[in-house]
Amino acid sequence: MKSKRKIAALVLCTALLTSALGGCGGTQQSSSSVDSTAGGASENTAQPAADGEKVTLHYLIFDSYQAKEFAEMDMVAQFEAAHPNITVEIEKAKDSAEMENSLKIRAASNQLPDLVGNKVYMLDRFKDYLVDLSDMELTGRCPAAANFAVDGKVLGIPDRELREFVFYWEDLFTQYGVSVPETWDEFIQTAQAIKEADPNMIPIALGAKDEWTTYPFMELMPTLVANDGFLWRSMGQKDTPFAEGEGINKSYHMYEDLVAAEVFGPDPMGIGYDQAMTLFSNKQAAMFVIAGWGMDTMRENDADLTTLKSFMLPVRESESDPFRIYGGCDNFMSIFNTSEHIEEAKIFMDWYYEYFFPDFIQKVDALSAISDVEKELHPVLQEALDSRPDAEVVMYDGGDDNFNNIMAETKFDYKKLGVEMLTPGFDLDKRLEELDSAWTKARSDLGIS
Amino acid sequence: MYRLSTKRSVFIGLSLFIPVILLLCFVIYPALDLLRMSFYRWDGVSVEQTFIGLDNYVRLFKESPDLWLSLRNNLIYFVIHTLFIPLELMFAVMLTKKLRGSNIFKSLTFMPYIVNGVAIAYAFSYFYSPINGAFNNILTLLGLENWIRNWLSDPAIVNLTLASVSVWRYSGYHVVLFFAALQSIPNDILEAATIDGAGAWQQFWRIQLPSISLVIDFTLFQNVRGALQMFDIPFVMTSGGPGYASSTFTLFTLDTAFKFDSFGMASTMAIAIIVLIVLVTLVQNKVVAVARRKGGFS
Repeated sequence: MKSKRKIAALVLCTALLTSALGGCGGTQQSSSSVDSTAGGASENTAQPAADGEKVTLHYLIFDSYQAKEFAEMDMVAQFEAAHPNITVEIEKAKDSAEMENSLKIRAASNQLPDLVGNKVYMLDRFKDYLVDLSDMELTGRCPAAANFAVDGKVLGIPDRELREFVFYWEDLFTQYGVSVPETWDEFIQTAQAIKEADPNMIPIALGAKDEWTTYPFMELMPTLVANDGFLWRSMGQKDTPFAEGEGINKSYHMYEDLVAAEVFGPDPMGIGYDQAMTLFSNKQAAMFVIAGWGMDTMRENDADLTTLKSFMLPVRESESDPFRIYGGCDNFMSIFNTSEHIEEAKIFMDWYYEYFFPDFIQKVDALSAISDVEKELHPVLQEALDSRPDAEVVMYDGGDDNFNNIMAETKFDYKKLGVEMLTPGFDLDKRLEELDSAWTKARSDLGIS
Repeated sequence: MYRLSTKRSVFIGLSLFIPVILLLCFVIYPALDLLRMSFYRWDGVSVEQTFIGLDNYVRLFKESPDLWLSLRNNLIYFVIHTLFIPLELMFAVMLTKKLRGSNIFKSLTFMPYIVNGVAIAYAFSYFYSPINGAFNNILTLLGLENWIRNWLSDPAIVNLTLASVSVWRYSGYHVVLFFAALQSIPNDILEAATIDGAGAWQQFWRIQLPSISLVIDFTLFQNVRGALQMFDIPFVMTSGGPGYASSTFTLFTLDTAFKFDSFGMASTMAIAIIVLIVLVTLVQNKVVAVARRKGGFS
């Protein structure tokens, strides 16, 4: 009896070990049934649904405001009225970071949705899973889409163009006797003047407990200082991209000066975005650096926007230098090539941008990425743009494979670095030197020339 | 008899069938796949996984200073929880006495353990908030404004703050465990000891403590495992920040997988934590065994 048990246990263990270790050695395929050469529906095995067959499309988004408007404007019902055989289920991720994590897991288990609202950097990351939309008529209506093509393929159609703004309260600026700054040093001086005039007022609300709030300074500003929207790709080509003289080095030292001025309040790392925005909405903070969609949060906080104004973040050294501003696209609608209903997904995409988008974009505090859809910004934002007719727009790119691989290898996290720079005694020069060493080694290890 | 024994075997086999299948599917197989993945480089998205042998393990020890910094943060949880174990034992002993309100106290002590961990962490992040945080308001009310600190953003104290939340959550569980074990000691042994002239301390040291040694061992193991796997509290309250100041081994492992797209290395870290738990437990057991021998009981 005992020997039978031992034999049974041995057989079970052997079976398990064999199945688990059977893949060792060489290269493995992960479990997803991806056709990595997919360039369009013609190469995918999915066939359009037969007439009358009910099809359900799953559309994953991260934008809370978009989800709210989909519900309030009854987007799904409108589409289903036009296409009775296609149902759309909207799935809302907590935020873009959580959506990206979820997509990685779902890719491994072949459970990707049909459609997704991507961030720009996700196009490269998920390029093996996205359908090439270059041949769609819609792509021709979106001039920006080609700018973000990956390996010559348009993998997503953005719905909006973003700008970054410094929101401020005009009445507070008047009260403290400060005006809109023209240069970076003036921006720091403006914040310092507010702090001196009223120690209880937070000059710039940051909310750095949520690390992503440092992105205007750590992710976007380096591209403006370097005058290179493709900065991350350029860095992937260099061994020492953080060295003195490089755009990112200069930009981070500028941010270091802002941090040294202690203008983010008594505990910027102790509060997150929600709390920081609440402080700003209640006029306990004078400025907030965020994209136009920040106004959505202010409205949710029932802020009185009567005296709200904005200006473009001045990253130039002197008034004689060009005034560069960030330009970026967001919310790229993409189709996964693992979808069984690619044709239906394209039908939805066409319908969305033709019939729903023109009304939807009017409610978003961003510019339209579709050329034939007119969009005026909220006066608070338009005024800031109009005050800079000479501004040079630097279109932002999220980086390519090389940059992403080096970033993963070196564990370079620019948003976390922005928070670390807020800690007392942080040595930026030492960190940049360490990053350069790690960057050089990573490029060598990864065989990037 | 034969039919009864066969029926019993069949009943046991059927009862265990589903749990064993679940164990194999959701514990054993994923664990073995985790081990397999630790020998590969994979970004979590690509179709291909590249076999790299022991490269991940070499890099784990040579090229991950932030990871070992995270382990130092785990150590803080371990030390603080260990220091509280004698207090928890003391409370449990007090609860065995027929004190007024001991039942209510037992329920109150255990309640934090049954509340969802994420909810607790979320609530405490507002408790320690620098803006209208309850803790700072309490200190102000007591005239202790000069004690106010940046509880969640000062690298020097953030781990102590988070450890205090962990102690609040898990102490009650330990107290109830100890209490249940103490209750299992037959009363006549303690009565006999009393008759023989043993005082309260002698009864505790010579009778109660040795009798509940298995539960103490279990609690110490849970302490090691919990400290090394600490995740929900720092994740919700600080996301491991500021920087990596409150990052723990598990948090860093998750960042390695999902932020830095290195599932192979993250698998290696997960294996390392299992080995670490086993090693620390073995050392702890040795230390406790020596202490027991020197204390005169096994």
